[in-house]
Amino acid sequence: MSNIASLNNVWVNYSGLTALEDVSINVEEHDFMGIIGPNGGGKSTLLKTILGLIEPSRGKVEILGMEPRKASRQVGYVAQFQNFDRQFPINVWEVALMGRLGHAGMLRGYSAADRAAAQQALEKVEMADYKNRHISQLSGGQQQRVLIARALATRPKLLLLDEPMSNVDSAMQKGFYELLSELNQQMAIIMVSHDISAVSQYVKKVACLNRKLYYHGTGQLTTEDLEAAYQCPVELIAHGAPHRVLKDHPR
Amino acid sequence: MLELLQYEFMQNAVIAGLLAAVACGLIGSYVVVKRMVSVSGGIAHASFGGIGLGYLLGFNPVTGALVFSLGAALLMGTVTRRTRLSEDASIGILWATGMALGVIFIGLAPGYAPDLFSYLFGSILTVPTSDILMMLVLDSIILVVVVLFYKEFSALSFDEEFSRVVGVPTLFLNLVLLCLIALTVVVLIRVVGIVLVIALVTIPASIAFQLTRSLKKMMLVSSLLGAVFTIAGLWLSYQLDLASGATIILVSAFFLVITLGWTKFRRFRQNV
Repeated sequence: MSNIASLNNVWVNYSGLTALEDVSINVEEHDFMGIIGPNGGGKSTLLKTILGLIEPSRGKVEILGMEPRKASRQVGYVAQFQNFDRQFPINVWEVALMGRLGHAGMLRGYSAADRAAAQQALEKVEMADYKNRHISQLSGGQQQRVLIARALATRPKLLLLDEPMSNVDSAMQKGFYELLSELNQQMAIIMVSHDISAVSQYVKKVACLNRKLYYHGTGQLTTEDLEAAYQCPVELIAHGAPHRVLKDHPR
Repeated sequence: MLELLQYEFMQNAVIAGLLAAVACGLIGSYVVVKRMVSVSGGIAHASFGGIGLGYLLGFNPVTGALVFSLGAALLMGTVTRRTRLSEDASIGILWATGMALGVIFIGLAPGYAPDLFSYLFGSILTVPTSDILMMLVLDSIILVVVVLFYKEFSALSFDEEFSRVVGVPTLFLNLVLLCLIALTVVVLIRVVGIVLVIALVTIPASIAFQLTRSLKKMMLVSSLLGAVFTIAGLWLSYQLDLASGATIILVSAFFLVITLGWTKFRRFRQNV
C-alpha cells in the first residue's frame, strides 16, 4: 500500500497557543479515517495543515510524497458549510467547476476535459439534474453533495471532509455514508467531526483529537482515548450495528 | 433632452455617465458580493490626498487621485497581512489620513482652489474631454482584467480558502481586485465625487443582486442600471437645477427602495 498522507511529530502554534501537539498519522490508500474530538480541539487546523494552508512549527508533513502545497491540487477539500454565503450569485454547475480551477490554469477558460470532470463529479453525487439551480434553492444535504462534487472534480487521491454531516439531516445520513464508502474505493478519506456518533460502520480507522492525537491503528476507540481527548468521563453508548466503533462495555 | 445633446458639455456628461456605469457594474458587483464596501469607501476617500497634491504641484488632480487610490489599495491589501492592525482599523486610518493630506496640500497651494467642490461631490456637467479619455482608458483596463481573471475573481469571492487550496494565487488576485476598485473610484470621481462614489459602486449592484442569481447577469444588469441612473439623474438635476452627483445618487437610492419593496411584495404573494 502506498502512503497518501503522513504527519510525523507535527506541532502547530497559533499566536502562542499550541493547536496541535506532536501529532503523527499515516493514511494509506483506501483508508477511511474518522477523527473526532471536541470543538476547538484542532480538527480544522489538522485538515488545513494537510492542505498546506497552515505551516507546522515543527515536524514533517508529506502528502502523496510531496510538500502539502504541491500536492493540494490532488486533494479534495470539503469545508464546513457554515462558511458559505448561500445568497452568493452562483449555481451548482459553477460551484462544481471551481474544482477545476487549478487544472484549467489562469488566463483561459475551462477546457472540455474540465467540464467533463465537473459533470462526472455531479453525476457521482447525483446532483447533475440540479446543474442550473442556484445554491440557495437546495436543501442542506444537497448543498453538501455539491461541495463534495466540487472536491471530486479535482480528481483527488485524498478527500478531506470537515464536519460533513452538520448540514445533513439524520434521515439522509445513511445515504451519505454509502456515497462516501463508494468514493472510498477510489480514494483515501479523512473525515473530522465533533460528533462521536458521526463515525459510522464505514469508517475504517478512528482517532481522537484534542491537541494531541489518540490513535491505536484500529477501528475501535477505547474509553481511555475518548476520556483523554474530551477530558471528561465519556459515557459510551453503542448504537448497535451501524455504529460499532465503540468496544463492548459494561453498563 | 435631445436638443441639449448638441452642446459639447452635455455630450461629455452623457459619455461620462455611461463610462461610469460600466465600471460600477463590473466592479460594484464584486464589491457587493465580496463585501468590500468599506474598503472601497476607504480607497475613495484616501484619493483626496492626490487631488490636493495635484492642486499643490499644478498637475491634473485626477491623476493625483489615481496615484493615491492605487497606493491606498495596495496598502490596505498588505498592511493587514503584515501587521497586527485589523482590516477594519486600517480602512478607517487610511480613509482619514488621505483626506487630511488633501486638506493640508490644498491649504499649502497658492490661491483659491476653484472647483474643489466638484471633486468631492461630482460635477458631471464640467467633465473635460481629457478626463473622458482617461475614463475610457481606465474602463478598458477594468474590462480586460475582469475578463481575463473572471473565473478566479468569482471563485475568490465565493470561497477564498478553496481557491487557495486548488492553487489560485489569492493574495495576488486580491491586490489586483483592490487596484481595480481604485481605478473605478477614479472613473467615478468626476461623475459623483469622492464622497458619493461608494453609493454608485454599491446601489446598482445591490439592485441587480435582488434581481439576478448569476454574477455575469448581475454585472450586466448593474451596468445598465448605472447608465439609467446617471442619465436620469443628469436630466433631473438639469431640469430642477440641483447638484448633479447628489441627484444621481438619490435617483439610485429611490430605485433601490422600490426594488426592495417589490421583491418583498413578490415573496409575500408567493407565500399567500
